[in-house]
Amino acid sequence: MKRFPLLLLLLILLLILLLVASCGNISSALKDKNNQNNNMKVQVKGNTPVEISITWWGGQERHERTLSVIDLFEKKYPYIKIRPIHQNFEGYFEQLSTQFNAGTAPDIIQFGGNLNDYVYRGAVLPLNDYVGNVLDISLHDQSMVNAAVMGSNFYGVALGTNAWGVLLNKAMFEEARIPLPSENWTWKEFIEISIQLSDSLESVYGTEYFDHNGFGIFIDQRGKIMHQNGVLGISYDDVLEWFQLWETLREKGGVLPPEIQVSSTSTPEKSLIALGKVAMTLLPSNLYGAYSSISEDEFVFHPHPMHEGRSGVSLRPSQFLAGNANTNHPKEVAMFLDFIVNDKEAVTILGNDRGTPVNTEIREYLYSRADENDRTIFTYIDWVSTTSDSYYVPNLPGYNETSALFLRISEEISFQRKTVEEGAAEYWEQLQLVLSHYRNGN
Amino acid sequence: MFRKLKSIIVISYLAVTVLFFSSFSIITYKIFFDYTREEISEARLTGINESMSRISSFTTSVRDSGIYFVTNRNVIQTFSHQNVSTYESIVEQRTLTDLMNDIASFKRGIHSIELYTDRYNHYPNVAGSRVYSTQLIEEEPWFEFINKSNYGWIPKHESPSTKEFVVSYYHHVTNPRGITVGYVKVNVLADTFLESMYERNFADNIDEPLLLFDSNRRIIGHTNTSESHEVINQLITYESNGEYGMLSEEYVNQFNQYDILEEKDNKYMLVISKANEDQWRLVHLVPIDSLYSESRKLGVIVFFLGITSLLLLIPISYFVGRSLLQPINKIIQGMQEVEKGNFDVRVKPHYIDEYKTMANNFNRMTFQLDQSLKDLKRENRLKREAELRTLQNQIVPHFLYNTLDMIHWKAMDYQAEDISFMVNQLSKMYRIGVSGGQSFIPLRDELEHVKCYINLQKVRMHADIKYDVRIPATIKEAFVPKVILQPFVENSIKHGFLRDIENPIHIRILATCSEDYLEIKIIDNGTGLPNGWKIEDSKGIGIKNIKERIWIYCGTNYGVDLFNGDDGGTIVYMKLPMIKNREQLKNFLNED
Repeated sequence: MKRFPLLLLLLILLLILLLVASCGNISSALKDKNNQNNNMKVQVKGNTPVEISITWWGGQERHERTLSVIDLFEKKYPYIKIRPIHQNFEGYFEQLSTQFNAGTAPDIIQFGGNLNDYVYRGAVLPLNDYVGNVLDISLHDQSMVNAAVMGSNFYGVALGTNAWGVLLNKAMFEEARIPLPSENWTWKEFIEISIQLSDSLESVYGTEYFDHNGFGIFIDQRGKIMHQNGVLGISYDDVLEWFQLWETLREKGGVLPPEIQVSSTSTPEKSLIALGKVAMTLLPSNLYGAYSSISEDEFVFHPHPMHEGRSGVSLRPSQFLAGNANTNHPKEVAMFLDFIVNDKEAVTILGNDRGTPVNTEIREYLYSRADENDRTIFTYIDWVSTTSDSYYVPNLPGYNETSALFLRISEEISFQRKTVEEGAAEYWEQLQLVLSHYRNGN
Repeated sequence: MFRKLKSIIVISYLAVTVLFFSSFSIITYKIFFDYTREEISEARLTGINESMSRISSFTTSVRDSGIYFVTNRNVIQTFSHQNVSTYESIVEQRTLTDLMNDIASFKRGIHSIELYTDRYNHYPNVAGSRVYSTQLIEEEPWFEFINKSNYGWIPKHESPSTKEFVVSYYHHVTNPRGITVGYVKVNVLADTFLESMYERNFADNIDEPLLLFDSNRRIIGHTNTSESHEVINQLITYESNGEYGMLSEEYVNQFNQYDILEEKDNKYMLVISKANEDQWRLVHLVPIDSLYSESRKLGVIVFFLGITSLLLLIPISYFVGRSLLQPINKIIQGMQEVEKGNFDVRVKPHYIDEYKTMANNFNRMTFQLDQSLKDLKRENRLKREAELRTLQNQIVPHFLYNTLDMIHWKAMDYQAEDISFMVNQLSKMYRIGVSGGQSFIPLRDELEHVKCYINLQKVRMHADIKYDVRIPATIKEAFVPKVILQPFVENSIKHGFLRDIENPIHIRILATCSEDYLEIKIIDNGTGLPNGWKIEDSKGIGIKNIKERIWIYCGTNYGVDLFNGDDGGTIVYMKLPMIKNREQLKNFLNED
């Protein structure tokens, strides 16, 4: 009996404890609610969420493939969110330059042969600290690694290897009753075939203009090197002959008239060959898959016309993926770069769209299960590597300016606003000026 | 069962607690619920106003881009030229595209800027150009908005150029003469636009429709508005052409407030933001259910807490009830024991005062009962014994009486006068002694009884015994217990006088009376009582018997005592009730 108050006290204590505990629950529930309202950003414990943006150019197929890879990456690293910005090639680098100036450039950027431009202006993230730990390049082709080494720094992963070639619309050749050219066709044959195609087919032209990319091959075929670190290896005559070649072809109607040529785009589904306006176009090997999948007509990927037995085509990195020097998340950038070139599943998704994979192990794996389009590309890459002794020359420094200059001059000539000589002279003069700026570090 | 005190206590205790606890919980919960509702509503309103200001700054930025383009000197200059060549048109388109791309590049959130004009209808399209023919948009349902006013917003629609869903700001492009020559369209991806509407990940609350209305009450963008949200139809009407929803008339002037909307069984909280400078407003619909899920959870917690407490309370109240009633049970058990006749029962005192008093009282009561009962038993025993003795005394004298009578007559026959006298006296003595079984006899008879005894002793001892009776005649009629005087006289004669002393024995009997009692004194002139003698020391049963009989018949107020007289001799002092007559005797006996 004497224990009774003690027991009661204990029970009351227990009740109070329960109440307090539940009050704790209540307040924590409230806190949770507040937290939910305030910190809904926090999704995963441990790693603070990171958002990085990535930009690239390309057609619909590349966008889809890249988005799948991004999904895959986000699943593997749930705390990283990737914001994709994809666009067409036209205007891509102009926009990128504006974004760098405005400080709004994405964290991961797809570059072309102009990676050097952005490295020189300090816009590209050196990856040295991440190579070997986050970013594995041990299985990559040495030449592709070297292509991204400038000074003592490694700047980006090559997304693939490609080589220029000519895309032929086989159906149009058949319709025009022209046999497909041989592997070792010459410029002369190319010109003849173009003219024949234009003549035989209604509102279809033989070939597109080969623009500055074709000019690079043209130079190589003459055994010259376009430039070495911005020092030109060509002469005024080379320029003149290039423009002369195309002006001749234009006069004979083999090439697209300038009014149509201006709408030419490298976005596969909007390209003139896909729209059936032209039968031949200059194309990097990696895009063959994208082009052949969007047209009903059968496309053939063919070697570039030769000059004295030299194709002038080299194996080159199709694109680089590199980081923005000002990114807030360099490690995550490196992780994504590693993922996109070394993850088997990711590379399988990308396939040849950005060029033949540079990771040798995965390339062999892909080769073993390649479809017809892929096999064509692999075969062509093989053919180039065994037959061509041309080597990779990066874009001219100041790519935006030099390519715009080249386009402007080409158009001015084709629109008859300048003669070939005037155009070539202006190009030669302006090119020197632009390059001198870059050589002086501007 | 339910009439038991314990059950009553437990049930009432429980009932009171349940009542208190449940009302306490309900009231607390209600207050809390109201409070949170207020808080949540305010928080939501604040949130939506923040979203609105974010949207405002975003839309301002978008609008500025459009305005920047149409006010750009080069653009105006471009449109002042007439009759351009094909090449010039291409250059112009490129320049315009570059300008638009540049603006779009550094303005975060802007997807693209496009120009719609008929200026280049007869010129080639340039790759990557953002300049399109007006024909491309003339068939669009939103084209009438563009026609109606110089600038404004186009609700979410599919871009005719890129086939993406966008929200756009448009502005007329005028040439230097003020004639509209085209329209610039600043596109924001619908998703981006909606993202600007809320905090990040807010979109996860897919159940909460969010709608943005422009100054014309038109829906600019909305999100999370699935078919299932029929409640939205309460907010929206459609224009005659039916393409774009508008806010219903009744909400036209409602800004910065919240309300509850009901649709079938679902309740929604309607939150309307403040109007921004453009008179836009954001409308948020939140299902009440999800809103108060936290509060509900709290309710559940309180409920379970209540249940747990109640479950705990049942044993507690049972325990308390039992503890409180334990002493009562003990006392009840004790009483049952007493009922059975066991008066030794004692209850342990309890630490609670009331129970302590109760237990003490009970214990005292049983103790006293025990005592009284023992007394009563003893009295009864004595009474019975006395009665028995009297009876015995009666039987023997009766026989003796008859025999004596016979001896008397025989003595008369033989003319033995002295024997006849003695027998006569003895017979008289016994007759009085028997007295027909009466306990009380008149004092007169009692005195006669003594006189007979003395007469007998006189004859037996050949001595002169002086016997004086000084009692008023009225007193002689009073009733006294019988045979109370003779034994003292006998004692006096037996022990009070030495045999050889010549001094005559003198025995006096005196009596006085008051209203209530009668005093009788028997005085002798003998040797008196031995030193220190007390009535209790009396070995003879006679005196003790008298004393007990007086007690039994008359009560302890009365009695007898012996002491030595001042002049020697012994005095017997007797105190008796005053019973004047037979009437009073009857009453006196009945009282007992």
